[in-house]
Amino acid sequence: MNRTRAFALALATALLVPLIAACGAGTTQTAPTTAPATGGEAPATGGQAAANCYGLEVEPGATLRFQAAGNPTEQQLYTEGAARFMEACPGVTLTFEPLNDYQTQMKAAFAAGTAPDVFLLDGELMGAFAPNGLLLALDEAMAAKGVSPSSYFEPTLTLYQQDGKTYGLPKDFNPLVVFINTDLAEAAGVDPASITTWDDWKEAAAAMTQGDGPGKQYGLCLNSDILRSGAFIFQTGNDFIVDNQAVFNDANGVRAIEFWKSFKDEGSGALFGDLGKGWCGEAFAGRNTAMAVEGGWIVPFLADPANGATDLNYTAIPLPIPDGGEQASWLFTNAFAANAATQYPKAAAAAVLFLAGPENQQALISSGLAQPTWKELANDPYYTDNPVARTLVEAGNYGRLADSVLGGPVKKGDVIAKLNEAQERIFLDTQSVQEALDQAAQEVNEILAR
Amino acid sequence: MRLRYGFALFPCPSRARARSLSDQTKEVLVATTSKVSPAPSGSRARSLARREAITAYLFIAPYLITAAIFTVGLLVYAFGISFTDLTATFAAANARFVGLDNYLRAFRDADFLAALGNAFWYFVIVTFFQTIGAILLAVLLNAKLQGMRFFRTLLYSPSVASSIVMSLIFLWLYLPTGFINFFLGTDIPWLTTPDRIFAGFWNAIGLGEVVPAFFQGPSVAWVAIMMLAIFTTIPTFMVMFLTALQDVPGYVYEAAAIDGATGPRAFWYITLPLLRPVIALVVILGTIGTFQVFDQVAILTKGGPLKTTLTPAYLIYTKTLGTGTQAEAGFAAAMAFILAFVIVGITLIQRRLIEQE
Repeated sequence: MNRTRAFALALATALLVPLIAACGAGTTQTAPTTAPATGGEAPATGGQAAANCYGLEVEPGATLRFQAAGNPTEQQLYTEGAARFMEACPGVTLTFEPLNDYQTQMKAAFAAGTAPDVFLLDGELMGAFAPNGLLLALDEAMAAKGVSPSSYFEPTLTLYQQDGKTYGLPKDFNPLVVFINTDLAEAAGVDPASITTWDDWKEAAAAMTQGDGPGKQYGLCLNSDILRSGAFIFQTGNDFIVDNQAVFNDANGVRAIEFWKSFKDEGSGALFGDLGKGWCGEAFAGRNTAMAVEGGWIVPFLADPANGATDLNYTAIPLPIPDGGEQASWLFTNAFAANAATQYPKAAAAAVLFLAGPENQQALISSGLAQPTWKELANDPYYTDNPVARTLVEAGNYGRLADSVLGGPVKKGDVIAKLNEAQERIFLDTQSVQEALDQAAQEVNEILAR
Repeated sequence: MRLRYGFALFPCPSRARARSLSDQTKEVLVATTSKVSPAPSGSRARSLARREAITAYLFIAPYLITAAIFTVGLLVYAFGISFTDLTATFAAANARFVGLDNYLRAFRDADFLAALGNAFWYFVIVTFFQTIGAILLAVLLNAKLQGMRFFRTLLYSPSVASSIVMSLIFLWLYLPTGFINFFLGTDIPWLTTPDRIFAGFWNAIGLGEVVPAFFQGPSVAWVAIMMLAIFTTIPTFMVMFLTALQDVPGYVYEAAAIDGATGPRAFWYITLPLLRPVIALVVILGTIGTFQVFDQVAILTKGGPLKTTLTPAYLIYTKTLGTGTQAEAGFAAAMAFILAFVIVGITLIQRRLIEQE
């Protein structure tokens, strides 16, 4: 009997110990930036001693955590970027930690006080973090380094500015362009370079539509996201919001969305969801559609053998425009930013400046993943030799940012949600384009008035 | 048969099931430890009983501690933030106390009301068909035939696969170019059809324009997801009924046969009443599971088309981790508690109805 009890106690203790140990381990893990400033080699004269880091004064021996999300190609670039920074900035350690679920993990890290010192910042989190004072202002470091805001493509930088302060530096950008499968185009007798207007585009899509039933090949992959079709509204010379009032439901806006929807009505285009695909890149890679409206992110996707499209020949053209219209596109950009609560604000700012600076952006060009936001790099020889990349980088001159034109970073999410609901009603034929946009305009005006 | 029901606050039907199982395990554990010793008398017995109780608690301590931290602790935290305007960044310092605003707002929020409406249809249809289906299948598999073990394994297999896997399989089956359309010779986009199934009836009597959306029934897309849910949950509940059926002694049926009750009459007057406690359990577990439906929606429709498959659990998730101003963790927590109260309320009513003799 006694033995039984002793055994039970031992078992219970054995079960408890790892649990308690695990709790302990958890606590130490969650402490923010625990590594103390070693400063072993630097003379510690009251913390005033400054190391020369990329031409900036920083805290000696600073250790920084750097988090970003990305596919394996991007992770490789981040790791290499961190290594380059440590070369340019001896004595400072920058450790890259990859994220899987970017937004969720970032929000949780800031909530728990375990946010990294340097991190990837997208437009949405800019809107969430900056007004709460969670981001480090970079203006002082920019002035010290002599970085002029005009070195960057303007819209990509203004997204990360608020109340006259800069909280992030755009690391790269991507516009929307039309990707065309050149083999399918040739078979259909279509010359991609000749597609410049909406009418050309519809003709080409119809010509490249083949077959019927489950194996049907469509001309164009459609996406009911306003961050695709919205570009056509700009092409008509129209805007989305003027003087805090929605204007996307006037004649030009309706015409643009009706144009986008007409591909579906005429059977020359299909929504990626109706093709059983997760996005248009998959439909394009699977040759379900001959064309897709996407950005540079499709390039590494097509190059990845896992997606079965390494032998797919393609080119890219700017979005076709309506008669008498103007060139326009959506731009997408992410930035690097620093945590306002970092122990090493100077070193963190230096890291952001370096990672989003010309030396580091130069290295990303050949990956094809995204285009540099540092204007001068558009003259890189890579772009003269690579027409797809040239089409993409040139869009930096005429593209627009959703964050800037859809009610600002804070309200953007709600505005886009209403516009996408309208597009859903349009593509399901439950409302006409005019009715759906009128309803969305009313809802958006309510959001803007808040 | 005595069972406890764990109420999960957050949407996770499988966790709710797992928790009620571990409750059972716990009871078995306690029962075994206390059965080991004979029952002496007097103060020695009392101190022995106390020591045994301590041992038992030590055994269940790992469960109790994790439950205290990850269930009760988070429940209290969520209840607290449901009275604040905490947003996505979880910058707790910036959150203000807003009293009952979030709760009042939930009852005016069109999305939340639509989601509750959708969940209600889902609960009614799925719980009904999964219970009936599970009983019929169990009775069928209780027959003593050659190779019955093989059929039991076969029929149970849909429940073994994860709901994500089953959802993906059905995603392909439901495609406009998928197997179901191929089989039927149609090209219906099942998962993107927002038409409500009773709308035709209301239109026929000329009331289509005035009847509220809720009374026009669930959408085609929602019914498609219900079919998936019924298909995957029947086997789990079937096993519960099968176990109960195998506990019914043969002499009960022999006695009934002497009184003239055989076949359908025996099923109606003998089998069903004996299954009553299990029916109660299945209906209640089904209710909890259906009101918390999440994974199928997240994989198949993301709440669309036109929010006809939006469920409270999915709405709460998107509100908590949404983007921009959509991310309102405080408001989402309030909706989560309303959902919990709805589930508790419906469950209590069900117990009354099923268990009253």
